[in-house]
Amino acid sequence: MNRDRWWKLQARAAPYLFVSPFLAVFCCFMLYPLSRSLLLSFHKTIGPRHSVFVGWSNYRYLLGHDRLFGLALLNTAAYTAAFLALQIPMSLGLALLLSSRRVRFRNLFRFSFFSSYLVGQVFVGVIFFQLFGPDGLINHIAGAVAGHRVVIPWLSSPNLAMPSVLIASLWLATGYGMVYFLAALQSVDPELYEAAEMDGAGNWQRFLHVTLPGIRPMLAYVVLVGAIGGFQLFELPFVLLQGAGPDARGLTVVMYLFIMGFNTGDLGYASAIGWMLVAILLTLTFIQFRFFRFRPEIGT
Amino acid sequence: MRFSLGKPILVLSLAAAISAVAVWRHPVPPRADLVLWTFDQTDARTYRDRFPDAHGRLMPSLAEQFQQQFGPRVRISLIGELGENIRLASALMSQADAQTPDLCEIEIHSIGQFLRPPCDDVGLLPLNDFLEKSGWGRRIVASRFAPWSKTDPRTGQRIIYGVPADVHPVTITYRKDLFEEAGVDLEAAKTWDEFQDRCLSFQRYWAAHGHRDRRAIALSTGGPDEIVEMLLQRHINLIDRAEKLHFTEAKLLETAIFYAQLLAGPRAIGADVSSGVGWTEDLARGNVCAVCTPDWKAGYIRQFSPELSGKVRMMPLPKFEPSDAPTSTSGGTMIGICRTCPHPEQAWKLLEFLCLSPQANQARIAAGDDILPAIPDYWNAPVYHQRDPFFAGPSGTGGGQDVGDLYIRLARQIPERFVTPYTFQAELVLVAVLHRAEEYLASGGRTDGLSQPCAEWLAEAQDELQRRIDFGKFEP
Repeated sequence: MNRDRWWKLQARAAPYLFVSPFLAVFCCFMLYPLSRSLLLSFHKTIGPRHSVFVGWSNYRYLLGHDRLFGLALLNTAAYTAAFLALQIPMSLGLALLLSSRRVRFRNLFRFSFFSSYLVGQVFVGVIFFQLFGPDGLINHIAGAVAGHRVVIPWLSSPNLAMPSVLIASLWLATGYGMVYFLAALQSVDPELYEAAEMDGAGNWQRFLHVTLPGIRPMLAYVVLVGAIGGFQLFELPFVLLQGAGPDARGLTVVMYLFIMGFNTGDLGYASAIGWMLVAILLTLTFIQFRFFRFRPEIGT
Repeated sequence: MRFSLGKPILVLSLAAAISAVAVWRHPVPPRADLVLWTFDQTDARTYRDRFPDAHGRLMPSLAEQFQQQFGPRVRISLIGELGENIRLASALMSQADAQTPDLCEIEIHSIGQFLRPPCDDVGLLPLNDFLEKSGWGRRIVASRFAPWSKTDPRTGQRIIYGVPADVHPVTITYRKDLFEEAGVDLEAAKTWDEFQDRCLSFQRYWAAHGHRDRRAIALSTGGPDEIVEMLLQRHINLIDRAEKLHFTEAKLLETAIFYAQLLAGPRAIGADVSSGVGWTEDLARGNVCAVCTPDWKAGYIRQFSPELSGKVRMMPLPKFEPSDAPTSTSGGTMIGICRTCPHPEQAWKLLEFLCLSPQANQARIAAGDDILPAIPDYWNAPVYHQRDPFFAGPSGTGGGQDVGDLYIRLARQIPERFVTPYTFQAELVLVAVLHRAEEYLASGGRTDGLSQPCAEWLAEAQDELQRRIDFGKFEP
């Protein structure tokens, strides 16, 4: 083989060689498990040696008859909607506040608000488990305000279980959203604010017509990530409510998947739940892309 | 020397290289001849730690003694319960011999998933022959095999997959000091109705003395524990051994309505307590003044609320009707042998030694484990017949209560409890029905008007669950 041909061969093979480690790992740890789980979702599996192909039966049951899945979906959707409705304004508000030059110790505050995100869902679950107890700090404060012992059944009342999870997750994630909005706010051209001010725009109008359009791609991203995170909610309610919670009001789709897979041992059905979740998330993402008219080139 | 990609990349690369070498060269410990997985810290300590004999001399640990007597090296692995369940399920499904332990301990709430396959495919080894040949099958409390066994539909034979480690009879522990102050003799209540009446008197007294929020007994509004205990007392399993559902039984309806009105409406006496072990503090503060206590739970009161010493007392469960058991059962652990174990005979020997032998019982007692074993022969040990000063003696007497004797008396009468892969979901569904019943009562509904709607809710629940069970049935 002459030198020219050798170089050409190298040039042609090099890209494949460079991506091959990633491809190998991706195939082993992503593609294979994903395709296996897709296959599993069309099977009824039991024990180590038996599985039977059941076609769409798992999906039909899931969508047509499974009340618990419906409940889990409803809980998760309600949580996600409430989470986004609260997290986005709170994160954005914090970001606006902490991007103002009039606030002293801005970096300290930024770090403080973000730091809750570093501890993770399980840890937050453990902390709020103590705070929300019948004799926890929150009831103590309520009692101090009311002037007598107050027992709000945060974790044992079906109507308060999910709001408790919501409060804990907002504590966890508001700072996280704030960091993204802070970055986005810095990219808004200051001249636009000056121009708006010269045109007589007030604070609210500047926010509405300059800030919001300026951070729109980031807003879309935070909403998207929040929605995906909301639908994947598992550890926090699992720790905080010690399972599905009172009257299964803390049951989420992923928790239900876990229960079917590891409490009932039906891996085929659990896989079907997983793929149903994928379908829901893809649909949500598609809707959001349409809603925000998301353009990847200006995105994150 | 310069590194063209920059110092951070150089440092990271070096760290990665050093780690890789360290991992590569790290010696892999030789696999022990027998590996046991346990989720229970006390059990792990009992098996691994040295303990004093009757004369106070320090004995080798049970694992060491086994190795000395029988030869095989034993490793006891303590694994978090959730982690053990997932790893075990995964190992048994994949039949990965190297990853599968030889023996494992499984908690009662987790056993259902492992018993889902047909009898021949359950990942645990049937122990009937071992139990029969060794004679242990006749020495262990018979009703405690129920959760760990499955009926073979082909032969009708009950296949036992685990040896029970405990019995867990249930009593009620109450604040004797507070009930006495209110002039209520709680132990005189022999039926649940009488119990409720006395608790209402108790609450009225304390409400008039500035404790309006004081509730008589801890009952869960969001969990199934106490309602399941009551149902078991009446010999009702939500799903029985043959996977038949019992939601539409008259007794279940009656119990569900009774339970709902213990929690809501004008005759409510129960309240939720803090999760985890926080309930002991609720008891100590007098937020709730009685609690259902299986033997493992009674120990928590002593451990986490020592200030209650001499202020609490134990009583059997009141009954609904004479045929009910004066107790129930809650929780439980078994030890089983994995089907992939290459030396089942050796594994059985280890199981016998760690779980059933007199040495094992001695080690448990030495470790301060006051849970009653499942072998009545051992109930004669003096430790189970000592007066416990933590629990108050009868009124006017001192010296503590014979708590061990009470548990032993009740242990002989514990009802059978079955666990299936769907038991967990059945409990979830029952709690949902109870919640509807509680809401009905809380909104002013009358108890006698609850029968009709509650029966309908239970029937709906049964239909739904039956569909699920039918759907989950495996027909190869």
